[in-house]
Amino acid sequence: MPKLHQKLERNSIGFTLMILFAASIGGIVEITPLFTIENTIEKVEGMRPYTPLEQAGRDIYVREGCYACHSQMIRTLRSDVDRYGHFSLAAESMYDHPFQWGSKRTGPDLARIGGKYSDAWHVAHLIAPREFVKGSVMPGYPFLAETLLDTGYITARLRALSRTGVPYSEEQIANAERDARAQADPEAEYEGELIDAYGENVQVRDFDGNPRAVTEMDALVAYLQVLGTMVDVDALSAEELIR
Amino acid sequence: MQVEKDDISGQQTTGHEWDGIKELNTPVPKSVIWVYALSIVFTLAVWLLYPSVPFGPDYFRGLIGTTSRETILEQVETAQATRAAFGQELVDRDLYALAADADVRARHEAAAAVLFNDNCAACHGTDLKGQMNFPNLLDDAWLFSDDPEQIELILRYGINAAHDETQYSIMPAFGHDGILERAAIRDATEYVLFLSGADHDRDAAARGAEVYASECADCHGENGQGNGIGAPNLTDGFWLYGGDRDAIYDSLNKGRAGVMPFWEGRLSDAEIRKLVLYLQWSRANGKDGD
Amino acid sequence: MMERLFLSALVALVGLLGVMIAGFGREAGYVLHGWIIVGFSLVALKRLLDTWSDTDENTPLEYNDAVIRFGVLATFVWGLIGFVVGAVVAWQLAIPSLNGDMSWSNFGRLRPVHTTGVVFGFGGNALIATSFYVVQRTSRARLVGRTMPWLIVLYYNLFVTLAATGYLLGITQGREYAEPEWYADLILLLIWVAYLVTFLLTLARRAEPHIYVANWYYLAFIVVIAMLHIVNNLAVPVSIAVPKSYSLFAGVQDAMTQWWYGHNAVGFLLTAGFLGMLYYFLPKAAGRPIYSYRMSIIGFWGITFLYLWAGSHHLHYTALPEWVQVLGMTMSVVLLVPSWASVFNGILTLNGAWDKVRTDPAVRFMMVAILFYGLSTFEGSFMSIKPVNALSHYTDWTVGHVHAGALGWVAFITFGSMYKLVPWIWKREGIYSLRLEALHFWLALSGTLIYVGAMWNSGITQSLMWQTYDDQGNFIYSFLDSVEAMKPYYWARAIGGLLYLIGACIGAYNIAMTIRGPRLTTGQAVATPAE
Repeated sequence: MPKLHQKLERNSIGFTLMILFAASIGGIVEITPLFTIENTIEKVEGMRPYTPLEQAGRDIYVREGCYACHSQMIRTLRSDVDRYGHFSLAAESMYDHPFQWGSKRTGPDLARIGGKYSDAWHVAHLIAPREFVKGSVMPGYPFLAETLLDTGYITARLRALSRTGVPYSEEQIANAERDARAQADPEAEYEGELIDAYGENVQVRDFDGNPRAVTEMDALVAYLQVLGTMVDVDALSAEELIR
Repeated sequence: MQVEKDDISGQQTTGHEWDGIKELNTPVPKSVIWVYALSIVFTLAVWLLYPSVPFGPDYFRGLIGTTSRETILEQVETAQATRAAFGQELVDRDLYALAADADVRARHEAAAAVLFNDNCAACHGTDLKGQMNFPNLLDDAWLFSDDPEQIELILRYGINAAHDETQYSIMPAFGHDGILERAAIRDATEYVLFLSGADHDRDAAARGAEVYASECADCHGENGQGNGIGAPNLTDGFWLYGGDRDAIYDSLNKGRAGVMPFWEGRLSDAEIRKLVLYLQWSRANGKDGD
Repeated sequence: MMERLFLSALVALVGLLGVMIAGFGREAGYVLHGWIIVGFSLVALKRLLDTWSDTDENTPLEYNDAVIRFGVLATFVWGLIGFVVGAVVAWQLAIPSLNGDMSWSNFGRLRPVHTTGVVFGFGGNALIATSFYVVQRTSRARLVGRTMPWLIVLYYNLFVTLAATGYLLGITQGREYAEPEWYADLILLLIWVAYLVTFLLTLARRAEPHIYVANWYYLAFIVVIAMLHIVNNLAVPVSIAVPKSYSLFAGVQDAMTQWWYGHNAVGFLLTAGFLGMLYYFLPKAAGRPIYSYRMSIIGFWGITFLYLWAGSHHLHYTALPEWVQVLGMTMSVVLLVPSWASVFNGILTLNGAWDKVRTDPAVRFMMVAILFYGLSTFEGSFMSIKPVNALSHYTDWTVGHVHAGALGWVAFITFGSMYKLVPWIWKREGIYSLRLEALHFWLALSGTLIYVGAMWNSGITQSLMWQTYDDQGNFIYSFLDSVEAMKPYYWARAIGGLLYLIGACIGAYNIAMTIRGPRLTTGQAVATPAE
């Protein structure tokens, strides 16, 4: 073997190609089949793309680096399931660009936080978390309540997402800006349209409790409140889950 | 460019030199090769036994083939059975009897506290005393009654929550929705201040009495004593959203509809009852202690 | 001529990107980035014009060390930035009010500044600088190109600047260690290709028939990072007007791609690259031959092949299919063998030079670096076993593991090498103060031990508190209990980090004083290329 190798180390291009060859196998074997093997993403009902407001909230979640302390992945471990609910399915993050499973739980998992607490709590807690939960080490986000949500590029955002494969219809993309504002404004009387476009579980509320404006807080809370609520996981049978 | 012998190790060099650096041609110790080989055999064995090698539309399932998902479904089932066995008495027995039973308390209180802290303390505090806009659970000001069965209903279905069985407690937004003029709201505010025994403007309060009678008394009662099914007593000194002039004006103007989430589905029946009991026990503590 | 054409195109492309961002951008921070790109490009343009008529023929026959000197300075500047921000976020966890509760000052935005500052700023610059040094010396050839190496270092630092400032402004892809947005990624891609070409062309010029081990590792670092960077940053930008883009993959595929990338950023930037550093500076400083050429081969190809399989161990018990978890776990275990082959190859190289560990703090830095490398790789393989991972994952244990590697291995080998390299390339007698060098060593070692010890304790405590049940199957601790229990460990960690930072400041001072000190006067022969 050393003889052969001595030959290789005399050839820099050959050596480079050999590195590329050896190093590419792992990724080819582990990543590409995730696109071809059918049961990678479970076939379950209820998944829908995020509404424009939820997606805007998700972008804020990403922007603020929430994933540095919060996971969105309930693992197949008893202590995870007992504390946070049914283990997460691959299907539940199928429209997540990028995924936010996280790698650290300085704070609790958020995969099924949707509906656990009231909007008012989320708002108050995000503004002053350490006053609201004694012992918490979470930073405060008071500025979200004061920052108007910029919906200027929300159409372009949905279009970019549809290019990555999220099944937004042309109509959904075209109405994105209006949909985003109306979801945080119950007085717009637009709930029917939103439900027609996105489905029964769309929540139309003034999420931040400030009816005068659609803020980043509205968007973030709308996102948090939908997390883990799309799939009725308890109705799934073992056969649908085991893989 | 010549193979030399290194005196310290007794090994020969490879004969190459780079900027003064030479290499010894020391053979790889047998042990390293063995460990390498063993680890590879171990790997192949694991691949043979468990789901591993992918091919096209499927992957090799493994001879044993157990997966984390299978394991967890079993574990959760066993755990639920264990918890159910211990919690059965909570579901079967009468709530009032349970609340009075010291043995039940000894068996369940510690776990109930953890359950409370993981799920309820975010709003109501680990001390159950709540905070601004989130009710204190130890005081005597309950929107609905403090009867354990009523509390169980609230835990299960929530208040103003997204559950079909939820109970409602909604204060209309008299100003925001254009039901009352600003002046009328200001007058009504003074009247509520009067009802609660606080400093108030007498003339305005007198005018506000009429507003109160036509718009508020249906729910809050003629004397402001509340109705026990969502409309609070305005005279007891407990204020969920603040009892000063500005806060009361705000409540009248923008309305209030605090949400208690529903826990059916998220918590089991026994767990919900455990929390109801935890409340009873903690309230008993509060009364003994204070 | 080819070089000038290529460089003109590079500067024009990057400059154009900057102008477009500055012109079409609709967010203040993003427009600022446009101007920063334009600014760096103007500096690059000036450099290009100044050296327009330089060719290898009309420049003196000596190694190109000037660009390395710049890289070394950048290493220390980014190192200090990264360490300071690391200390800040550590204190934020101990004293949460230090977050300030403003957007830019919160943990979530500062944390990637820390990781990017140390991984890409400190680590990346150290690797580029030392790779340029090592490839020249071990090939007895000058770097190819008079201007290209400059632009590589310059634009690389533009990339790190865009990344670090972007996070403060909320510009991020939200994928760990791959946070920079598409335009920063494009710039890195361009100069990374230039880096690979420069490195290969320099190797092609070598006067030695064989390529030395250190260069194998540097080459693997460059090639694999290129592959990872391209695949993992496939994204669809929203518009030229805003910095935002969306990752091409979603959910489970995105997760796997990201951790394939993330684990191998560790494997090829923080491991392979620094092994390259070790394979040059250790034998050089110890004055001993490499213990075994054959072991080098086993170590190198084992690492190059196996690392790429290991990423899925970051996703144990998640929604990632079981078969990928099994592959990742098993390959991570095998990975220990070539890793430890490298450890033994390093340690046994010191045979016959153990006295230097005592007398030369730089050698001591390197020796401890190898020990921490051995510790971290053992720990890494251990943590990738699923039942262990059930305990360690999502806790501070992972944080401790990373820092054992980053503080103890990466930074120690860098400091050891820099203490040797700086006097060589600035042509100084030696380091300004050996006593300060030793003081740096002890501060760094105690800081690392306190840090890692605290995180082991907090991680295991955290995990056990999450998983402890009573006999009825109920939790004994609430999540909040586990947060409160972390307090003493967060304090200890912050103190350990502070010690490490103080050590690094002393190191930077020592390096600065060495550079400011007198030039080498004795007529030592200056090494020249063999061309």
